[in-house]
Amino acid sequence: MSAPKKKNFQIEAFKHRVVVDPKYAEKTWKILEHAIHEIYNHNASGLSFEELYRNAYNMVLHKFGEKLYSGLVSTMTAHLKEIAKHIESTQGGLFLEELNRIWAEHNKALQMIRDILMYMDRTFIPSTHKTPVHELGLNLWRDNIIHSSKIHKRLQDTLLELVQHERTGEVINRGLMRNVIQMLMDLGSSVYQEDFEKPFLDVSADFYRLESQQYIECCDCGDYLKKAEKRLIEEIERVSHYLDTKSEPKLTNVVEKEMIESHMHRLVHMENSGLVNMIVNDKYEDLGRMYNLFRRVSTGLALIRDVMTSHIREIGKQLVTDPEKLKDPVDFVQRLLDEKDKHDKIISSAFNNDKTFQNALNSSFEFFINLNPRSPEFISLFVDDKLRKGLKGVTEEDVEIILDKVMMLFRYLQEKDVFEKYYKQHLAKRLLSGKTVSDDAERSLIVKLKTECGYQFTSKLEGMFTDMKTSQDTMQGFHAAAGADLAEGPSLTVQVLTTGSWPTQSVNTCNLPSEILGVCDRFKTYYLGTHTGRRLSWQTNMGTADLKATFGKGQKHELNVSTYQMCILMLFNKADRMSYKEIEQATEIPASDLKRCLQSLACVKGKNVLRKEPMSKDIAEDDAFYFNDKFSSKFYKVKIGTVVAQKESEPEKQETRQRVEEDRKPQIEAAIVRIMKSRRVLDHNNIVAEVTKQLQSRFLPNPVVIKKRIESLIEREFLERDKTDRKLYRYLA
Amino acid sequence: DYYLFHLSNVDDKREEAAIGRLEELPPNIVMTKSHPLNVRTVNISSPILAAKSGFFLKLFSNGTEEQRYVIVQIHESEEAALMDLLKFIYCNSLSSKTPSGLVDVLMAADKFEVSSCMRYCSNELQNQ
Repeated sequence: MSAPKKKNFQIEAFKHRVVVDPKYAEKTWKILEHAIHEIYNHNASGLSFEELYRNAYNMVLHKFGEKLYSGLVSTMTAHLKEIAKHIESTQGGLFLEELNRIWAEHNKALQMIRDILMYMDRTFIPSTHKTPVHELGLNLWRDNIIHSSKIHKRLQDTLLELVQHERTGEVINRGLMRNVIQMLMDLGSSVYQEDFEKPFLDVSADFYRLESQQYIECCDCGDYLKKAEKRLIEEIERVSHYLDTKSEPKLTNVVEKEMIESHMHRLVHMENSGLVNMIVNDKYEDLGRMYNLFRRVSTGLALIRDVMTSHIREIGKQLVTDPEKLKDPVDFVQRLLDEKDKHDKIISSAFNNDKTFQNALNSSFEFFINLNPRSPEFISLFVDDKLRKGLKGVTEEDVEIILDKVMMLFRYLQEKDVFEKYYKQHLAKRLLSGKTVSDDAERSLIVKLKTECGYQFTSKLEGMFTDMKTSQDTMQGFHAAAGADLAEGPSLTVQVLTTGSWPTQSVNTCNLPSEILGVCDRFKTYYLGTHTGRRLSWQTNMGTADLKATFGKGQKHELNVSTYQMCILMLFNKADRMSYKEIEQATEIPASDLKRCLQSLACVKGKNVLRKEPMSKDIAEDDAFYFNDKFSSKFYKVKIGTVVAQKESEPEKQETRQRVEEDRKPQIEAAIVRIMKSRRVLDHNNIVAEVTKQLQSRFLPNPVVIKKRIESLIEREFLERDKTDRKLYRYLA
Repeated sequence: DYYLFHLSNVDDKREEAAIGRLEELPPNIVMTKSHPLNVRTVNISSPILAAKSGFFLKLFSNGTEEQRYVIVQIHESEEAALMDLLKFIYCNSLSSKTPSGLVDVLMAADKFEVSSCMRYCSNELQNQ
């Protein structure tokens, strides 16, 4: 390949072998035409591929491609017309089989013809933009067989009839069905869609419209759903057995529309079997089925969710407003928890743990729990009950589970500060009476509250625990210092509570018996001696005492009583009879507490260490009390509880409510100042919105209260109104 | 004017040997001349031919009479080109180096649909 050689290169004229014979083309075509006939007549084995290929090649090479192509079209068309006649003449049931058989033959023949004409397919057809041989064969089959007037409708009817048969439970030849459907698909997606799929979907819609109408009239909701599910599965299987996979969404859509969407409202609301009935009776399977079927329809899940939500709200509303059920707070909360568990189980086992359903459940609970203003108190009482006694013999994990459930209810509360108030009270009682079962459980709950509401929320609660610990150390110190001097008198245990951390009310100290007063004063001296600058005041409304008492016939008992009760009983060391007035005067115990104490000392069977005249359940101002000499008990130790309403009484409730409202004021003011400090200028509505947002983790502030707080801040010159726009506030630094 | 190429199929076991012999063309080619058709017998391996040539692929699988015993009829002028094409199928190289020789092989390759050879010839011709 050197350069000089290149110069000498010359292209010779292309040496086409010239055809001399004028009848060459005709003769060659005859050979090929004959071969096509032989192929259709199954005599292909006698043909020489090489010869036929060579002839077709030569025809194309010698510019007779057009003749070859048109010859092919007319020969094949003629054959197909013959075949059409044959198929048309087949009787009844054999029609489809015959069509399928001949289709297979045509395919085989087409394959051979294409091989012979391979050279034309490769060169002549692309350059003249004609239809390739294989596609041509399919098109001719479509136009002459499938679209022949006598076959077209018959084929469609036969196919639809077979599907109908199968839907009514008969067994059909699925293989044949698949082959024929495959043929339609091979002829092009438009053939499949126009000649089969469209009418098929129409017929299916009619079928299911009718069937669902029948079912809905005679079935209950559960049965109907079972039937619908079965039909849906059948149709999906049908697609996989003999239809185009692309038909599946269209077909299931038809079933969904006719069997589910058209009837879903009626199904959900069916009396005695609809959604509410399923929920009430925990029919997980039916609920799951409903979920999975309705999910297929655009508004299906929303419908289930809405009905479920209104049902839960209704149930919950009844639960929290039924006065019968409010009698026992522990039972009340337990019911709430049971209700939550029930619906959690339904959502997890039937509703696929659907987030939107969980949210609906949560918002429903939030809705009805807050309908009852006592919910925070009751939830705290429930915890109190559990932590006092309910946790005995329960494993640590179970405790955690219960506490977690309580926290879940706590999250629903809007007035978290009210809960905090009660929780503090109840915790204080537990700690001071030494009634708490498990320190770990107590602390665990406080940690949970802390993660939920932040440090502020629990700092005082934690302070209470610290006080308890410090008091222990203080008592050790006191005993070590006072030592033997104390051996004579009554033994004293003092718990020193930090003001502010505890829900202490400033109560007037009652008159303590002189025996106690002495030792109390010794402690006071000791404590103030070690901690200068502090003040101690006795909370006589709290505390307990163990008294040793001797009754008639020398019966000895140890009485476990409250401080007030102790004060009352000590009076009977000096007298056998005292009137109500005398007791009141001597002790100066507040009337309501005094009545309670006397009630528990005189009116409780088995614990009546006092005798009252006249005998009645309630304490009156002119009652008289006697030391009950005949008191007997099979226990040496007798615990005399105070008749405390576990729930708060109406006035106490009012009082707590008032204290909560008082506590909210500085919080609202702080929020307003925080917001105004950063914004400088803001209009009224925006302040209210922001304050609400900042505080909603603790409570929902009332807009009227916020307005009052703003006014108070203006008075104290934290804020001022804008001179032109009265709705605008300015922060005064 | 015409040759009958008598291609006798070679067993798989003899395939390597056949390739070896074809590489040393022409000793393995048995040619008998008779009137009006000249017959020349060439031992080939049908899988190798079928792999390279669309024509031979169909020839061996089409279901017509040619199964193991194949006759290809060609014009005398095509003989050299066909032999060279067969050589290419086995060895990926051609004896023809001249432009006209390459054009003849290209024609044969097109006729028997040996696309690798068509590409080869086109490249050779362009590089000339």
